[in-house]
Amino acid sequence: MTVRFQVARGPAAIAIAALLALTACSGSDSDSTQGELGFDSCAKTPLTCNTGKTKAGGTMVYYEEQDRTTWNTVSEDGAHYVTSMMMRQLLPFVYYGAPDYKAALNGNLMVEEPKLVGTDPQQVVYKIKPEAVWSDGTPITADDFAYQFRARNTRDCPNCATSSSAGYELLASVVGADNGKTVTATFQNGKAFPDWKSLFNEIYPAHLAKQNGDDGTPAGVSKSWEWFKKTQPTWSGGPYMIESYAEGQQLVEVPNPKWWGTKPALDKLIFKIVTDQSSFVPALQNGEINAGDPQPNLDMVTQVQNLQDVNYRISGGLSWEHIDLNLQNKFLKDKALRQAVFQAIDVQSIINRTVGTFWKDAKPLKNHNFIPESPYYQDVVTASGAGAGDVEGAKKTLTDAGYTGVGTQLTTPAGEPVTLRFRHTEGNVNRAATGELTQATLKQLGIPVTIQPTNNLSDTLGSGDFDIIVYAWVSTPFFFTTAQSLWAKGAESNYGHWVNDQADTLLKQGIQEGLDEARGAALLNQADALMAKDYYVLPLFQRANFLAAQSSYVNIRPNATSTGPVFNSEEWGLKATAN
Amino acid sequence: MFAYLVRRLLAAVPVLIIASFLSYALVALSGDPLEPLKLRNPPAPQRTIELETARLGLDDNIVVRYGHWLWGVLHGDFGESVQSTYDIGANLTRSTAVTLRLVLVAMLLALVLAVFTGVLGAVRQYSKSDYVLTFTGFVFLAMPLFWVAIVLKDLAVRYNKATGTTVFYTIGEKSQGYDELSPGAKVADLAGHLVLPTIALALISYAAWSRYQRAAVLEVLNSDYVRLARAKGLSWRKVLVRHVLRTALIPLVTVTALDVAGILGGAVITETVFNWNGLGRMLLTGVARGDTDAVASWLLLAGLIVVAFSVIADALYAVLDPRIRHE
Repeated sequence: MTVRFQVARGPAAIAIAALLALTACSGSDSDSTQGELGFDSCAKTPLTCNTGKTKAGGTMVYYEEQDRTTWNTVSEDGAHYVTSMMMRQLLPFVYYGAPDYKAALNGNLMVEEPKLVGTDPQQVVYKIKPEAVWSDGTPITADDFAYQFRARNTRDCPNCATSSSAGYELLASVVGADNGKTVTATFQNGKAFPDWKSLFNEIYPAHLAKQNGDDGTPAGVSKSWEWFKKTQPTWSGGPYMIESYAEGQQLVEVPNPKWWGTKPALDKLIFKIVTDQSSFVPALQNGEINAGDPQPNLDMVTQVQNLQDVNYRISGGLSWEHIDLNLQNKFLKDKALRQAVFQAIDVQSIINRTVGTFWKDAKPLKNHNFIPESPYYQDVVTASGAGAGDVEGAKKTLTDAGYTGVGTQLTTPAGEPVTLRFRHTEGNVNRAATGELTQATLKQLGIPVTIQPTNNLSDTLGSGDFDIIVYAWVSTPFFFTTAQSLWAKGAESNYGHWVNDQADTLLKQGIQEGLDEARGAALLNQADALMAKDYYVLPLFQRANFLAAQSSYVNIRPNATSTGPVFNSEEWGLKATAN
Repeated sequence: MFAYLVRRLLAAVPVLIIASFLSYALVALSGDPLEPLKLRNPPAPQRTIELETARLGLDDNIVVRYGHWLWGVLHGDFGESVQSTYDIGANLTRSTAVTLRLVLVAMLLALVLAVFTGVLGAVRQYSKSDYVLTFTGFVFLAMPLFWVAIVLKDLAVRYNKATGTTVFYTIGEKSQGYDELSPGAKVADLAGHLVLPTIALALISYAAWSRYQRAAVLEVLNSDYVRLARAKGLSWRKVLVRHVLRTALIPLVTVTALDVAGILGGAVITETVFNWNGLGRMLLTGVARGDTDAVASWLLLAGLIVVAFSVIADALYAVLDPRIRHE
């Protein structure tokens, strides 16, 4: 959910990673006897690399490129990577995004993996640890879960502007038992929500909501919602709590004395807001910051490589760039032309000119729903020939389809000269390069391409004011919701208006059967293969994720999900043997 | 004189209104502030989009939006930010204080340097020192501010590394543990943060000003009344300070006042490079998120500052040159 990149790490990202599922490895449960110091082993052992014993005390100054946007991470401003990072230490959550790109259970909060006890209606039971309390001593209970439900389902509080109501609007009730330590979430009849693990991952204190307006009415919930947005938290349900905040400068967190899990080793965790990317390396070198995960570029990576006593790692992130065609364009309605365009584009060349300049492991992405790190990732693109840079093959496709003027001025079988517009976000260097390369490639087919940057991507997409466009989406472990919003017939984010009834049936079937995740994912991949052969969206590459940290700190490790490296911040500390 | 200054201020009002409207329209038309919400995956609820559209008044045309904003400004309300919890007025006040600290110290330093080197160069025209000062001035005149700032940061980090100390800081206005420091340490901390951005900003301004100052002193030195003063037996020091310098400062006052807009622009760059949370960051952040009210408020304030310094320059003319005062 980040806003570091337009569509990317932004929004869905929060949803994304914050929510992955399964691994029963909680933040504070990692084994400090495993793993190797440094980030070199993170590719093979992402959950245990840079593990070491800590000494008590010390401060970690963590670099952030932006300030937080709100204190309510699920409000309209809240789907924001930095805000989520800063608040992660305060908010109870059920699942989080782990470094292995899977959803992991928060073992500090939950007694056990939540159980799916019913499918019609879908019903999930959560068991909260008895010792889990807010910093004022109030137990964390089902009331806190229910408050999230009421505030975000858009029915109980129409004026609570939320970043996402996905899943909550399908819930019928959230009730507690066992003094509130058992929570039962029941969905509406006939409404399956396979991404149920994305729910309850940023929980706010219901008792404070009650003290600040929540009287059970929509107006009351809204009042408390606003209070959470505007009021700096003095409360916490996590390992740290806020000591001080200076807008635009830093957020200082100290250990929460009521935290029931492993006590943090650090005395202070400081998020330092540094909006100029070029300041990252000098500040790291000067000891003014100790770690950070900025958006990487060639200069930054080169400089960090030359620093001593600094661990760093570049890996694939969850946001991915892609080229979309507008299927309502009079020329691109023809599948043969779309096929030729995608055949001719050389994805590897685009990578070499963009992300490949500083990330040598960048590879073409071959799936529209999953990244290579996902167990469900399948190559559905290669078989279609898309992205191969096969200009001669593309020419043959066009010739076979009856086009003339191939290589000079392409003309349709009906005799109309083909021209296209390529759009990209203004000021985005990588996307501009993608446009230039595409323009040069299609010129070889005889297609004149005009490049038109846009300063309003949402309007450009929403109004269909493009023939070809490059932008990004964010992959997420909660892929059913994402797939439906992007590829379903008539979905609002299906900007190119792709329709394939067979694929749509598979997509809906996959979502319907998604409570069996593997079965649902297989159906999505079948639908995805059909989409690849329709030449609608060409995946390019994953955006790079970067983390650099001084080697005197241990247990901090890369995490490309929207949870970010802070997923285990309570374990961070100065290396015991460090001077 | 007072009436003249009042007229100058009144004349600035329509200029400020036109300029603020143009800037407001430019920002409003430059993009959709709700784009992050609309392009979210899955998208934000339609209800959230509607609430935000209503809160920001995006359904109104630009003239109506500008009217609402201006009416609010006249009543002390600087409007709604795209970021719902962001208080534009409070941030404007806080940012102005931060930036003025940097700008005023840098201007003072630049003026002292400019006057000193300008006078020295003029008095010792075509000497070795004049050539060195001229060369140095042109070097800084030719350098982009961001480059000077980055070089200074690099040198500072190298110095700290070499000495094993942290004398110079490269980010922020003060350290995170500032409040816990002793009074003496607080001063050292503030100085450690202030010195690099101040020098960067001052060097660029000083370079141009020193050339003006040198030319002005040379012109006055060659005037008849200076020769007369010398012929009457006044000491060289007295002539230089009381007759030459006072007259030669007038052009510098003009240039300094007119350069305020440029210095504010320089402060935006300097603050960015040194990560100060002042007016520079407020502007850049506002532009990045399409925050029309915030950017328009910023530009209105910048316009007011420029006008204010222009009027101050007029007043200073009178102080420095009695002839203007009488007219």
